[in-house]
Amino acid sequence: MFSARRTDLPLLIVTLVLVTVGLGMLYSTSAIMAQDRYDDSLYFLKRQLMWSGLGLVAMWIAASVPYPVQRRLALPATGFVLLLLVVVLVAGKKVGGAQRWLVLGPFSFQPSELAKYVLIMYVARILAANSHRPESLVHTYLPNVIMMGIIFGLVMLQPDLGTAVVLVASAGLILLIAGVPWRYLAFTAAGTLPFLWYKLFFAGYNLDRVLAFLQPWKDPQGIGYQIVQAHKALGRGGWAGVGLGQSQQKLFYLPESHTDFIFAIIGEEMGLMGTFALIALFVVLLWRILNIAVKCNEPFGSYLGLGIFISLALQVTMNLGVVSGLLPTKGMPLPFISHGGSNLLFSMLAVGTMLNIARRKT
Amino acid sequence: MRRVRYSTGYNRPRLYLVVGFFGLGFLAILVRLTVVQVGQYTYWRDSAEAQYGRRITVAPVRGSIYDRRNNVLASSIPAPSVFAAPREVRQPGATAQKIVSIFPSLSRSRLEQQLTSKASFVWLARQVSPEKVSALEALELPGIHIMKETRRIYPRGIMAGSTIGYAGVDEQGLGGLERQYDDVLAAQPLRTNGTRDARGRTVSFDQAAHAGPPRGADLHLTLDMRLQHFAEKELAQQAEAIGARSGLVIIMDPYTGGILTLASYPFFNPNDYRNKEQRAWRRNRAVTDPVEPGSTFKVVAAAAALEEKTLNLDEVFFCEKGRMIRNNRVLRDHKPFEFLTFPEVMENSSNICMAKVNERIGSEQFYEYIRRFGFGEKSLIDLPGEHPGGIRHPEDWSALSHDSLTIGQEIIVTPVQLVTAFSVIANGGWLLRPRLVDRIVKGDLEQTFKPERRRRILSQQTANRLTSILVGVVERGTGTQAALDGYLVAGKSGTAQKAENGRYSHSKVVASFIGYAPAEAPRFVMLIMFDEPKKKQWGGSAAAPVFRRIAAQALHHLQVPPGRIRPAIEDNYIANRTEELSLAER
Repeated sequence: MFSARRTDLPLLIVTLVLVTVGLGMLYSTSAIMAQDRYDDSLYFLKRQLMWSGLGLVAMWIAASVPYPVQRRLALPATGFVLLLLVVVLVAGKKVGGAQRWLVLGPFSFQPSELAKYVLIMYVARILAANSHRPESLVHTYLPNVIMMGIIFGLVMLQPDLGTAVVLVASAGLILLIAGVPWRYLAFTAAGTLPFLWYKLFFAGYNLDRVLAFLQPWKDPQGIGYQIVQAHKALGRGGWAGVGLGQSQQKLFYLPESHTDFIFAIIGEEMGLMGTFALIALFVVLLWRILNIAVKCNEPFGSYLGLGIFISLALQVTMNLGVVSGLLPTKGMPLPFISHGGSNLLFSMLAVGTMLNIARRKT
Repeated sequence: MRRVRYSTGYNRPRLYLVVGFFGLGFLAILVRLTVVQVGQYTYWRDSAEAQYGRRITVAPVRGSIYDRRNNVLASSIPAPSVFAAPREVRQPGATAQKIVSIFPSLSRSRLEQQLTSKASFVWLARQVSPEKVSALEALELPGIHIMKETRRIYPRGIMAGSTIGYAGVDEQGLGGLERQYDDVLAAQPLRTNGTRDARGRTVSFDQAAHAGPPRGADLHLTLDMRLQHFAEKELAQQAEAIGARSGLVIIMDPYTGGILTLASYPFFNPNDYRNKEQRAWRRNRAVTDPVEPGSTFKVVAAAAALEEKTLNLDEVFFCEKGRMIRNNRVLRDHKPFEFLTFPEVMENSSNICMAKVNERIGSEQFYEYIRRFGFGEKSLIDLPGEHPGGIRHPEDWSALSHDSLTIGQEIIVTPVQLVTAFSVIANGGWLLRPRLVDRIVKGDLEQTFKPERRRRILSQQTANRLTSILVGVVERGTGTQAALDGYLVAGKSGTAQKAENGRYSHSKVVASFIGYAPAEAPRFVMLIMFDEPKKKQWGGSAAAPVFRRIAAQALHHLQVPPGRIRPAIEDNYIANRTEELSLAER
């Protein structure tokens, strides 16, 4: 049924380039802070290196194991994720008011990152099983929307608005592409948006961020601080950047400069050329993924590939949108680049899956 | 709604819609980045640079002060200070609590007040120990900062305290040599450009700052701490024994003007300059507080008489048995004398005969001599706050003034002026500028001060004759308690009644002795002075013994070989020095 094809080299190469660039920029942005905080300038780099090692293994496994196995794993994996999402609420590590991490020895693990991938598996699994009736309320729409709702709720309890939005938006967009009727989707949106609206504008924590987004310059020392500092970093970079490692903004001016706002430091150190080049890498990556997904003749592989495309594309555009000031500040890593092991692991796993889908053709 | 089904299971138009949506997103991001990174480049760059920009000030290190044997007298050690930038402070209460845990002497409520104040800068603790500061730094309290400062210490404590002076909390010279040479000791802070991180720590700075802090120049003094020690020990002992309010010892090299010792009792400890009790003794009374000199001043009239040759040395004066009325005023001697030669007049310090000797000199001329000796003008010693002393011009003299001045009244002189005047006799006629700094050293640069002769005011012969007379004072006269075995001492005692409510007090005196040794080739001139001794109110008994004790140790310390064992100079008072020396050799 499957015929072996060659590995999609452009996708593999662009992924490895992104991971390498990410490690380099992570060192550049985190070394001084790591020295300051842990007396070890390599602290974050070492961890990210271990994670990228794990990521390579995961990518290799996903690329080697025929992806239909994932279809069979989809439901058990979803159950496992739900379990983890409950466990993290009970036994997770609390950092800055949010309970998002499970600590396993030296590693901190974010179940919501696993959920991003597994929810795509789940949606692809349901859609593939009902590919002949995508407009069915009972068979297609409800199983997906209910699972989306549960996971969204569990992630919001952490709370992690950014991830929850990515989760729901990714799944929702797959449903849209799969052909779920507009009216169902419009109904879902009508049910969700008031909640998001409330979350954004009436929950103080997020309201500040929205206010900061709307009027960042009004109080540059206060809530708009991060946005203003990100602009200073980007703006300071100019055409060609201030040079690798020469960022000033990473010296504690820009909070989260090694995680969510790492792109701003890339802009500072490598200028517009750097930011455009990085975006080009992402575009190539996404284009390859889209291509593989579209060319896949088998429903599950196709839905899975499209889901991965949408999830990564959403994360990249939302992160860049936040950093460049187009979207309100939200905790959102830049895949492959930002510090954060779980995200890197599952992004690489997703690429592995794509490599596998590309290799096998019905 | 059009629904197109594909075997692959997705709706192609909707896929295009989603992909197009992402495409638009990327496009918006690219446009936005171009605007921010290229269009607004200058604005963001400047606004970013503005927050890194830092004028770094590298605090200078004040120069040290050494005595002539390279003992450290004043030095600066690191003493960081803690300050707050209240606007950066997050939790004033908790912050104050943590600070108090390290600095228990600070008040918590006051700290909280400081941390919440509107000021942009508040000192919390000045010049504290580096250990406590490291402990504080480890807490990384926002808004709490450390400034590297240095603190002045005076390792010798009270020794020469009022002479060395003191520097304030900002290391500004406030008294004594610290003040006089403030511009030499201090260095300008090095100001350079640098960058800082968001926590206010300096990240980089100009090359200039790598050379270390700018250093002020070091002072090397003429003071000799061994002599200073001898002097202070004897001074304090005697001052306490005789119940004096205060006392002074000045030792000067008569050939260079260099001050070897300047001790002022009660002693001032510059380490403790803010102490109220110490405050009264901060001044260097050797230059700031002029006194009526009394009989020591008779050397001026004696010098005038010898220089102007108004008398024969064997000429006999009648001393009126201790009481004489001149110009409706009673002149008294401390004991009744009848007939004395001029040297005997000096030896016994007869006021009556000295007045008779000095009436042969006109007032204008006498005034001229007084001025030539440097009285009534600053000695130009390198100490702040010098008083020029005071003497009226002859036009303003009363009928009594000439006599009064002869015996050291109606004039105020500083102790430094007196010791400088005696140096003239000791060195053969030169008025020198007294000084405390021998050289100023800055890195490889060194500026040495040469002895400064201001003017020649006596002939060598007069100086020699006067020395012989002053040797007689110590051998046979009022200064016998200053005599030393093995060395010739020349000197003159003085007992000046202090003026009180316009009259001379009988109980309050300034007792002094000024002399030099060895008389034939003086190594030092020394002034001893006590203010208001309750016991031993005569210069010859209060001050002369102190001279002897200090001189004995000083001559030993300076390794001056003994010249003779109690010379015999009964007849030939006026032998010139070379004759005396040759006599001494035999």
